Amino acid sequence: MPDGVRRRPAGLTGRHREWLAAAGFLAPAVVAVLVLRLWPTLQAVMVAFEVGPGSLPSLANFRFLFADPEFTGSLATTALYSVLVNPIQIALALGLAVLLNQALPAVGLWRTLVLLPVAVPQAVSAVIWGVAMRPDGPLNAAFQALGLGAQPFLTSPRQALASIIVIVSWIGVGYWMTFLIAGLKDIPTQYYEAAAIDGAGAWQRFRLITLPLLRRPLTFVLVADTVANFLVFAPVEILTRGGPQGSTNLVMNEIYNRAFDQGDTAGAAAATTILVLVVVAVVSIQFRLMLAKDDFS
Amino acid sequence: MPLNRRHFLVGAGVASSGLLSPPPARAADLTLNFLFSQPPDTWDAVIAGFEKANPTIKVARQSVPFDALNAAVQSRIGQKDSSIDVFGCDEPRVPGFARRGYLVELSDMRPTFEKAVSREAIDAVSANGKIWSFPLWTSTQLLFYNKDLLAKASLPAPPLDVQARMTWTRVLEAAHKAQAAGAKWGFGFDQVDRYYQLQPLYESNGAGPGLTGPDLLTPAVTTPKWIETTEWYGRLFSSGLSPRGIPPEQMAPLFGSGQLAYFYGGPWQMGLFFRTPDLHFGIAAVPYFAAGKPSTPTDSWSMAVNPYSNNREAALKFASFMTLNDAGALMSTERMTLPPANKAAFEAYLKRIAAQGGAITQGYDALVRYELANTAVHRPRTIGWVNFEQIMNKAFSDVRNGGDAATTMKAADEQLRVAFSRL
Repeated sequence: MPDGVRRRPAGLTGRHREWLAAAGFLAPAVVAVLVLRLWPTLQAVMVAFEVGPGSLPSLANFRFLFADPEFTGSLATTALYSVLVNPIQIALALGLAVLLNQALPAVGLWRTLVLLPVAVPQAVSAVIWGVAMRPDGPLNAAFQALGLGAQPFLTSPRQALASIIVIVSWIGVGYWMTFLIAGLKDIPTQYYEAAAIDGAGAWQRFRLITLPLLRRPLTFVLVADTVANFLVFAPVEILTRGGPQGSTNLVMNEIYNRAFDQGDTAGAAAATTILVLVVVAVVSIQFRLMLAKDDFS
Repeated sequence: MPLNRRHFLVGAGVASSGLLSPPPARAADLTLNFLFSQPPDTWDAVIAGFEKANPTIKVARQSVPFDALNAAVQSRIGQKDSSIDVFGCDEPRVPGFARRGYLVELSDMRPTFEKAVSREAIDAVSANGKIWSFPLWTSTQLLFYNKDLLAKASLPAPPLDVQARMTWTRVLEAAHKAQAAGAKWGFGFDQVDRYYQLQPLYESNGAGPGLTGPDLLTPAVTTPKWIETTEWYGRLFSSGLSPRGIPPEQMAPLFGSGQLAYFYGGPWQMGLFFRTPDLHFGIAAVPYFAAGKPSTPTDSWSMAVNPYSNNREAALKFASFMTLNDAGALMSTERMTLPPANKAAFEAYLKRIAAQGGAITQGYDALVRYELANTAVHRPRTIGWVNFEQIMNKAFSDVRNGGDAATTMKAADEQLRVAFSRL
């Protein structure tokens, strides 16, 4: 150690120690992120630009992908899915959070029940829903008992994507609700009291107090939910494998098929790179829109 | 859906980086990792037999579903992962896997192979004149029927005699009658939507395997005969004779629980049905299209050794024990009642099945020998097989769910051309 450091005042040495301790605690997480996330991503990006062993970087894999109707179809399906699933999940999570933030009897029980599906592994949820949605399954028995007629669900190109949306929402809504309940608890009650004295109704209180003060947790939920939905894979792989007729071929499933069913590693790496770029772009726009006018900061 | 769920690529990354690999075992108690897609108890007898003969080697099982095995091999062995030693390799995958470097070449063992198994069995695991895998089983197909459901409809038992086999028209007529008399479903394929079991339909109807050209890399799935046969397949489901939305793994339980009158399945299901109480079933020769000739699926699983395994010698010993060793090969058919590829074990297997099945399997011996020699069709042996199988299975699934046969086959044809262009 250089002389200069040794002669520094005791306070700075203490600070050094703090830094060292912090680095020690952070190191495992940082190493894990580098090894498990960044390194594979970097490798995928490098492979995406390869056409053969030792070749010069080229855009050939990307050109091939955009000329392949399977891939462009999966992008379109993912866009449709995202436009539907994110607003539905966030609206439901917000509705449930507001409802279960009220002084209801046995509110803890209801919250637990709503959160419970998160604790079930996705694969197990998918298998259970798969059996429930079989043409001769219990869901259709209930539909028929109610006089609604049997539905094809996962076997129809018109209903399969909607069925996947129901399944992932059943898993996810309770999880996102928990963040919003925490956000609601942070809103000081005097705002509501003042508004009540001013004669504001329930809708006005929700619109003018709850929503603006919930902007930060809502932003987190919006961004995290959007990313999670871009990466949905297990229910699709287990229940439909992208079918019928490509109607549930979300981009993650497409990448998986390309890499592990078709053995086209370079094509899959290029598709992964495109997915990462799309996710980053969408999330950046969401951040800008949600935090542009942060009037409560 | 929560963010904290692991992304599959991370999982693949962890596996490929070797972080989850077990620490190297000591020579004294080496453990082999064995990857396959059968129920784990399939291997109880043969693993016990191997471990008894080789007390210093243990075998650890890793079971994945059939549809996930290909991905597991591609992602793990493709990343040079040493944590698998022996793995199940469906025989038509041999040329593609050999080309990608996923298999250990076994040509120097040719004399041992020739002594233990037939010429056809060696062909099934060969590519470019070299041997790449150990042939475990062979296969044929049976028409299972539920005696109680047929009796309810006053239908006669279909014949086991190959010379008297029924046509598809007659079987489906009977299946409709059985359904009208109370069977929930009239007819069902065991491996529904899978090329393995559907190829014989096309072959029997004179449509060919769906691939042509010197390397079998030119799709031929939009010919009039292919469309006609695909439409026939789709009608099984649109008419309500066969169920939609039920995966292959749940088809045998459907027959086992008495909901299916006629079941087109492999002999591997006999073991399960023998063990199912209150199931009164019989077996018959599979049907054919009257205008064509009888045709049956064949080939089966082989045992491959991972070239990146750190335990190659022990892995070869285990794979060899299961297939080329007469006693070991018979043990491998104890629960999975498929005919072994091993010649001596094949004879012993037929005797055992005859004793086990009693009246049910009377005539099975002659049927298996006849079908293997006369009606068996191999799946296309091409480096494009893996791509072909995956794309066709999805296309069949689309047709089953009501997709138009011509449109679906045209889409499959385009996908095949794109996939083959990347090989």
